[in-house]
Amino acid sequence: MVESTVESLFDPEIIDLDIDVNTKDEAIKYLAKRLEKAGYVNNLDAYVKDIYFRESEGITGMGDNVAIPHGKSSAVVRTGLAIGHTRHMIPWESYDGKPVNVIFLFAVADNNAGSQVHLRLLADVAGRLGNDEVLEAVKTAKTPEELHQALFQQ
Amino acid sequence: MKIVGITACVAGIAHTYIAKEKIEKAAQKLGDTVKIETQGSIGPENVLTTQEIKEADVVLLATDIGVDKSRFKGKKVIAIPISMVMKSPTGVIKKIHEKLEIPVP
Repeated sequence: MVESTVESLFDPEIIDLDIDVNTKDEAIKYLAKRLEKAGYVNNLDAYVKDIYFRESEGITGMGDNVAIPHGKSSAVVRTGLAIGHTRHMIPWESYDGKPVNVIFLFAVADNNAGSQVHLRLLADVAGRLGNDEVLEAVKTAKTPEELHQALFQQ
Repeated sequence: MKIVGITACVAGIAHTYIAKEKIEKAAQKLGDTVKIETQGSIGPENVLTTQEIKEADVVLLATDIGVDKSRFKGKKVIAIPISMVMKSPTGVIKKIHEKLEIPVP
């Protein structure tokens, strides 16, 4: 079943590899808006608030210019993964103190019913990002196709 | 060296799984055998067996939340925040080698 594979999380509609923003806040709001437009989120303000709640609990800049903000929110109607590559490096609290230009914004539904499968898929993607070779390929991907290959075909 | 361990972060969504991958990759690169149990929002996965724990030289807990340590009674346990793994997975594994006085092959 397509729904239960990790690749079903990959949606070009919520991927933008050339985002012209200068701050973390702009980047988060831009990607959150994309999620809203594509029908993953039904209340933008509530979702953004929940992202910042998670930010307050600890650093999401995982190093190597990559950030993985995530909001577990009742405003999420469909679990999804927005991926952004910003044109400029933007300041972001990170484990290596470096700025960020690749952002994986996880949208996670707050209810437990039926979301276990999706959480498993997000966990799978997160695990892939822990692999240096995958991360390097992700960072150099110029198109959604290249990004797809970087994430799923290694 | 045989390493078993647990990763667990606050939200249990991302860091838990990234840290698992980072520990495994770093340990394998240094020639160690490794198995990491994840305790995330989807519950425990890749659960350590009694036998695996018994055979391990060291237990690595990379956790930001409390985990049950009763399984590891009598074992050498090294507990660190998950941020250390995120920052320098290879550094963490090397440090364990130093502490246990088992040279990196």
